[in-house]
Amino acid sequence: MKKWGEVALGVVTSMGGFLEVGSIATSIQAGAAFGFQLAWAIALGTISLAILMEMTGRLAAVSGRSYVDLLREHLGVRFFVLPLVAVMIPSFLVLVSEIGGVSIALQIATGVAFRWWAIPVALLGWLLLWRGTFKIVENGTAVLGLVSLVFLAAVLVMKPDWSAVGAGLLPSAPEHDRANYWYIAVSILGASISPYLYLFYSAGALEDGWTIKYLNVNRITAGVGNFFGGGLSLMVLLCAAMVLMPRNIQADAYEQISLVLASPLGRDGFALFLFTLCITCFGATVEITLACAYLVAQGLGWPWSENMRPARDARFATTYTIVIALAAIPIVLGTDPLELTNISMVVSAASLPVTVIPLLVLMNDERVMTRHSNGWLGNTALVLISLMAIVLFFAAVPLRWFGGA
Amino acid sequence: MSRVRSWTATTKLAAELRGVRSTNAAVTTQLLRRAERTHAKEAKELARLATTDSQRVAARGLLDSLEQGIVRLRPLAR
Repeated sequence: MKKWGEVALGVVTSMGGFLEVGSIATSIQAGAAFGFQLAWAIALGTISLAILMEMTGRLAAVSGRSYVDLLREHLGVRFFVLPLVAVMIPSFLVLVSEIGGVSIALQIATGVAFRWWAIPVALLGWLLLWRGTFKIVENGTAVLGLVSLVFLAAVLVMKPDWSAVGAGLLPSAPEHDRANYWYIAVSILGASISPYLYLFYSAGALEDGWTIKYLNVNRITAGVGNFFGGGLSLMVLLCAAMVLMPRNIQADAYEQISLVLASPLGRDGFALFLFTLCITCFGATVEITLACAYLVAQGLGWPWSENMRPARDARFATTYTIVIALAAIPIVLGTDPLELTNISMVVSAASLPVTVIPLLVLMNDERVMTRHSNGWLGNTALVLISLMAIVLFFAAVPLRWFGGA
Repeated sequence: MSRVRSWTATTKLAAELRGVRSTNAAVTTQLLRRAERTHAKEAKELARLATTDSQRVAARGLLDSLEQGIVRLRPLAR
């Protein structure tokens, strides 16, 4: 019974925590520019993330070690520098974007410029990490993030053509702006499969004390949670496709994006959009800060746990303190949050091979996985994701150059 | 040109939504400022790019539409 409670909470957490600045911005840009046509990118990203989360969760539950721990131990400290840098850079950029997302929501709500909000947001995030436990961090903001269901409500009010939505789930070539189309597709994939998401999930499995008995919990949480989370991302795209696209409004500022729910749902929709942006970005701010600290602490073999008092894992606590403080600086200096979001999603997509390909090695190592190593289906899926990651690595920067201007 | 069209449509939607109190004055003001900045920037850009009379007329028409949108939005901002 307790386990089913954890499954339900895990699914709610995955769903409520799915939306963040990257998925909101990229889904809205996709819907505004190409209608339902890029729905397939959200579906592909969601399925890929669910597979990666299931595997990193299984790895942690079976081995009792996090993915980062195993990367360092099995592939060597020298190799580990590569994922450390390749994950740290995009995660930090995404973290800055999340702080920017909260700040811009507060700017739109109050009229006070976003740069003034960066330090209070970072302080509040740090306080939550300093005083809170993993459960509070993981579940608190995610449960509040369920307010993002408002996008589903808006879609039901606007009644889309579901056959056209279904057609959008199949990849198709664009009729105009090819470079921009593929650039947004890459950005969506970067937002959906950010490395911090599955590294955080793997560390979280250990924080929650998962063992081999939790393999089914892991499977359901990763599968069902991401299915609903990806569904919410799709709802965001549908809203933009029905509100912004018919009016030829491109989404190149968060202020434009904020109108997307005001049109179908009036003032309540507008307020709920701001609350959604604020709370989902704040949740992601705390999670990414923690993910960065996990990465460094696990990589360097330091004691780490959000459930320990900061005095007992001082280097871990110092790391997240420094990371969140540094991440507030670009926003204080006035960096455009949407522009930064777009850049960070592309960098995120480009960094994928470094964390995805080694997973293929670890998931087939029977010393680590015992009898729970990957079967042919898991390996085929992981090979396909690895190939996609390699394509994204080579395509991301040129597409940013040609399609993102 | 697509950016000018997009901001013209944005000013129209922002004015409609503010008119029925679906949004607040803060976002209306922020949209107005962005539309003004876009107008100033794109006016320079289009002047540089338009080489024939017909292109200049088309560019002028687009910029005029955006300007009308800005004028409509201004009293709704604080």
